[in-house]
Amino acid sequence: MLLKRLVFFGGKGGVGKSTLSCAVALRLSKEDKSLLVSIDPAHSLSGILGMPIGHEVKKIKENLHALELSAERLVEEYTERVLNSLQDLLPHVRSGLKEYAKYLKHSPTALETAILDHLLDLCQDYAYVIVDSAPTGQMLRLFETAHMVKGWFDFLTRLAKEREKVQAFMGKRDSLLSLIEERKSRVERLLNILREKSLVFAVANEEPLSLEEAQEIKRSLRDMKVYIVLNRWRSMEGDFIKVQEAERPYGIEALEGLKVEGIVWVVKGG
Amino acid sequence: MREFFKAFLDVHFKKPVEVSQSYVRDLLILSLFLDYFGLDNPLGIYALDLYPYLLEEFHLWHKTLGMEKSGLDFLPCC
Repeated sequence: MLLKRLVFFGGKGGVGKSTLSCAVALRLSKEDKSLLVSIDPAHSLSGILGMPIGHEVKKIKENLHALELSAERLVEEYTERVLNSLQDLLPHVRSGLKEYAKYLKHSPTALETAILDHLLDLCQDYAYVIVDSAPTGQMLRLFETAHMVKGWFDFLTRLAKEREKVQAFMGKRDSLLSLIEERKSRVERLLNILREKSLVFAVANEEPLSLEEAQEIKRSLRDMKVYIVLNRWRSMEGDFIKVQEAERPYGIEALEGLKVEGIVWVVKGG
Repeated sequence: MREFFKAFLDVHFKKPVEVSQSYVRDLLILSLFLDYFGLDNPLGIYALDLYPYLLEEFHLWHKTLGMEKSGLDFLPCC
């Protein structure tokens, strides 16, 4: 696999996660093929980079692509795909599943698994994937969902194995186990990447509440590598990576002026 | 004669085993159809394409629960 690092930027709203993601992505694209992806439902990449970016992967410059992921669109595309692949379905079952798919779009878990599943695909084609994530609570939930889905699949696999034994005994064939295991292996691959190739930068400002929240991220994600970044740094000292304050760092040129060497150094393996 | 013997085995030995293990099926279907009970399905998007495979099973299941009709619009099995 091409992937060297999957980098997440999290933290309290308004601390500069998106700005730092953009600046770091621009820097990393000078090293290798990079992708900047926003999974915050309130996307802000377009405004910060100063160009329209949407749900489709868009080329920003040499070696750098970006997209603003829409979880709803992913769920729609997924159901589209499933329904198309089941051509031989009876018409009333098909319309029933279509109905169900409508509800799926409103399930938070469905939206999260859709994002996770798509991240796995995106990781195949780039050396660096930089994720501008939603504010703290939502980001932590995303990681929890990944683990929860894995646990749930473990449980289902055990059950499906038992069932297969009974089915075999009765001389019936059973494809459910292989279907469940296929999905489980996708989730496992993603968890592997999260464990071995991911970094989380918990962004904060000198404002105490945002710093507290960054420390909370570090406490919550014990099995991941988490670094606290102090954005708009002026004078505070402590155990964090400093990024100096910059006046309106918007647009590619201004972003390239942002001093994010500390973060880039950690990503490249410091 | 051979046919008869096989049918005898199925009814008197194999069937009871399947019935005694039906809790496995029940639990499996329950876990895959949590939406049925208004619970959030932890599988999220991963479950949708499993459903057509489980249609028949699902039908048997809601019958054993004592429900003649599934009552589930998206899985019209009966």
